Parts: sequence; C-alpha cells; structure tokens
Amino acid sequence: MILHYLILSVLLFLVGLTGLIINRKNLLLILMSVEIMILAANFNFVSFSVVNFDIEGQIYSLFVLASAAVEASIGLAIVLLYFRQNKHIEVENINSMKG
Amino acid sequence: MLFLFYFFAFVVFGSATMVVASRDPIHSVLFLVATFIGSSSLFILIGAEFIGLLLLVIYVGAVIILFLFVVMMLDIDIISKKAKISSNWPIIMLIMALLGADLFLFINKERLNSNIFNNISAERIINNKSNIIEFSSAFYSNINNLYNLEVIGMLLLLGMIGSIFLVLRNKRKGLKRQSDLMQKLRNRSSVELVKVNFKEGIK
Repeated sequence: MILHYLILSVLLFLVGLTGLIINRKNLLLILMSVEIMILAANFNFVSFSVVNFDIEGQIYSLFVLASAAVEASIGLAIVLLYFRQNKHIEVENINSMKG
Repeated sequence: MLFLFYFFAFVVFGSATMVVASRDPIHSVLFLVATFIGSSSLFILIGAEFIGLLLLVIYVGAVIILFLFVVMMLDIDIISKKAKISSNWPIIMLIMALLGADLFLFINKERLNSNIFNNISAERIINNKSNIIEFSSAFYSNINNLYNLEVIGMLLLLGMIGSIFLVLRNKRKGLKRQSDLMQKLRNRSSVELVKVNFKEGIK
C-alpha cells in the first residue's frame, strides 16, 4: 500500500519537473511547479513516517512546509519586481537579470 | 479505503497535470488549490491528520491566496493567454520517462510490502494517542526540533524582511537618492569654480 503513495509521489514530482522545464511563457508557473515538487517530497516524508511508526518524518514535513512558504513569498516578490521592470513575465529573456 | 485513495490520487494527479497544462494562470492557481486539497485528504487518509490540516491552513489558506493576489495584480491582458511551450518538448518528455522509469525501479518492492492502512490501526492500538498529541509530544520533547524551530523562525523573519525590502518603493519627500541619468548628464558647466579669497569665504 505504501507503494501506491510512493508511485503517486514519483508521478507528482515528474509532473512538477516537466512543468518547470517545458513552459516558456509564464514565470509564475515555475513557482507553482516548484510547489508541486515540494508536495511530492512531503508525500515521501509522511508515508515513510507512517510506515515506520516514526513521527519524526511528519515533523520534518512541517519544516519543509515552512521553508516552502518562505520560498514562495520571496519568489513572488522577485516576480513582481521583474514585472514592474519589463511589463511581462516571460521566461525567454530572463537571463537579462544577470548583473 | 482503497477506493478513496484512488479517487483522491486521481484528483491530485489530474489537477497537478492541469496546473502545468492550463493556459490561464488563474486556472493554474485554482487547480493548485484542488491539488493541495486532494493531497491533504490523502494525508488524513493515512493517519497524518495534523500535517493534512496544516497543508490546508498554510497552503490553501495563505500561500495559494498569495499566488492568486499576484496573478490578479499582474495585468492579465499583458500576459498572453497562449501558453508557449518549449520547442524541444519530445526530448523533454523522453528524459522525463527515463527518469520516471529510474525512480520506479529504485522502489524496493519486497521491503515495502507492508499495508499502510493496517499500520495506521496498529499504531493507534499501540500508542492509544491521537496523531496531534503524538506529534506535539515528539516535537517539543526533542531539543533538536527546538533548534530547528528557531532556524525556521529566523527563516520566516528573513523571508518577511526580504520580500518587503524587495517590493517596497520608497517615495518619501526629502529623501536624497542617486540618479544615474542625472549623474551622467553633468558636465563642466554645472560646476562653478570660485576663487576664494583668504579669510573671506564664499559670499
């Protein structure tokens, strides 16, 4: 049964990674794909924690959640700055942010 | 139990796919909400109730609403609705299939044959405690977790300060700021050279 959870986690991770690589138009979609990948990592933490009778995995899942929230807030601030500068959020020429 | 798992797994996987495939960013954000609600249900299904509820409160309540605010703040007409995907998508799909096959092969089927739903009931019988009581007693009795808690608190503070510092535009009157253009437009005529007499100063 834990196999089901692990397979779902792998599938979610692959969907997130595909969305991260394949999209060229929307900078926000990259952040959302990263959130999906973090969710897949959380699936692994929680399902192994339940199988091994060890609550520590769920505690680390909480830490992962908090750092993901920080990452989302800073990423959205950077997206806002980029939009203010360039009036679009396409990923194509984003290496112009390089100093 | 298994039927519920398949139902929620279908919801999670389908809406995660729609997040990536959808053309409108607002639809992507709403499908992300569906993904997180489904995965919260899956966590509750295997007995991790506290993490499931936290996922609802933190993600659906705060983070995704933040995403929604940003999507609405950016002008939706300027963002073109056509989702342009990378031109070499067959190669990307091939690489993803290989990576997926790799990850599937690494799952050790013999070791992981235990039934997770039996484990939940066994754990309940052994501990006779609810998930949140067990979670909090493990969380607050281990000193390493308290250090980690401090680190997470500092990280959240840093995130708050960082995002405010990045986004804030300071337009207060009387604040002297450096302007590159004005500095480069200066020439000799903007500087007046004065001959100063001894002990008199500039009038």
